[in-house]
Amino acid sequence: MSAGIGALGEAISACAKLHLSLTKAVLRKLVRARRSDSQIEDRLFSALLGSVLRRGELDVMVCASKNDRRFRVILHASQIDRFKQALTTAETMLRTERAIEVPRLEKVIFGKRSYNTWSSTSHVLGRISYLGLGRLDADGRCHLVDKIAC
Amino acid sequence: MLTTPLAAISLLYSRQGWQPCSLLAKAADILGVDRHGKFAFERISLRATDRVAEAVFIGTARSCGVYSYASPIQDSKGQRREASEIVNDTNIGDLRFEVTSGSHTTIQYLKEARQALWNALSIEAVTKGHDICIRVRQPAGDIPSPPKSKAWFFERLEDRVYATLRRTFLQHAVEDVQLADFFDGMLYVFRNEDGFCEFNRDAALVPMMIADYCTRNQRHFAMQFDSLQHSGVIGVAIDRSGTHAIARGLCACILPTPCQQFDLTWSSPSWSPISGGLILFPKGH
Repeated sequence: MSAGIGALGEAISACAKLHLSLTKAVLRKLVRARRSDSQIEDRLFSALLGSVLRRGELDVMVCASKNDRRFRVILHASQIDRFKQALTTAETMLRTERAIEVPRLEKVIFGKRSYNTWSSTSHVLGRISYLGLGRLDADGRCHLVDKIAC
Repeated sequence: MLTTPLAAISLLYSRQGWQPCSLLAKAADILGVDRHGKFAFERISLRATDRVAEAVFIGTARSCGVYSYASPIQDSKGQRREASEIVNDTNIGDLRFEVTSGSHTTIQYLKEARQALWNALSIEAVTKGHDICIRVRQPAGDIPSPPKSKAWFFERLEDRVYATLRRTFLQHAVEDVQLADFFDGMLYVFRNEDGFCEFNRDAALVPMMIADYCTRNQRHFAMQFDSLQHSGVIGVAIDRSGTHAIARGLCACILPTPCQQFDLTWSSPSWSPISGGLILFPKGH
């Protein structure tokens, strides 16, 4: 049993490592797909996710939604510097272009599109919105808050 | 001499209030407890080492702080455990700690303390240059108008409020009369939709300074975290009753980024330093 739990913890970490950031729901879906096991109970998954977070292999970042409500995204420790770099890139683009659409930033950060890159890009903009430099509209486009950016 | 390891961002309570090791002088007076359990300042020395190691975040109902993996911490029963043991082998929810949130000296936020606070607030800010500008966490429609403040400048922009702290904050000592203004403004800025103030975990100095402020003014407060196993944020609920000096452990996790280690050294065997509200012990004792 402990071997199974250990393997599940490793799967959580391994799945998170492949992405810049993920929501808990997406991570759970990826872990289930990786293990071909759709029976992993939510409570078990949450407990093991907690244990991987406790070990410092993963971390969370607070972002804001279109409605300025906060939500958390999960980052693998090896992706934290890359996420910060993406934030710097997005901030620079936002200050220059005054508005950014997800696909445009996605291309700059990732080059080619692949699974979850759109979501990770929206998390970067969500973080900028949480801090207040930008504001998301209904389509997920991020607009510079001009007066603050000066 | 007695020594205990700490992380660069571990908080110690100097005569200027809470400050991280990295900004404290090599020799400083910091708060601890003597053999009778009374609070006392003692001269310590701090040495930055070449060691970079895992750091452990520990949150209780009345404190939060970051420790070296090897920092020995005492619980309320007098048992001593290294931070690594607390995070790896113990259920933090089963532990209780004697916590010191502050309020043990007449403090003035002088140069280094103000710089430390400025750095911590910068983590939460939109802009990190000349002035600090922070988005008030609640939408403008959900909260009362901003308080009148000499420390903060509040501005409403559509459905948001932004708060600006001027660079001049760093140039003058913060006197008692200004502190209420400054802290009340800060509580307004960081209070979220759920009614408690929420801070980035990397800005642990700010909630500990608020804890110090609340203790001085006999206001109740309680800290809260995402879970027993991890927290990306530190929550502070103000004016919540039912808090006690013996605080329950609420969160322990290893930080994802290793941290430079400091050695804290002192001479008196009957005195123990306090870091992040918790009592430490010398290595090997």
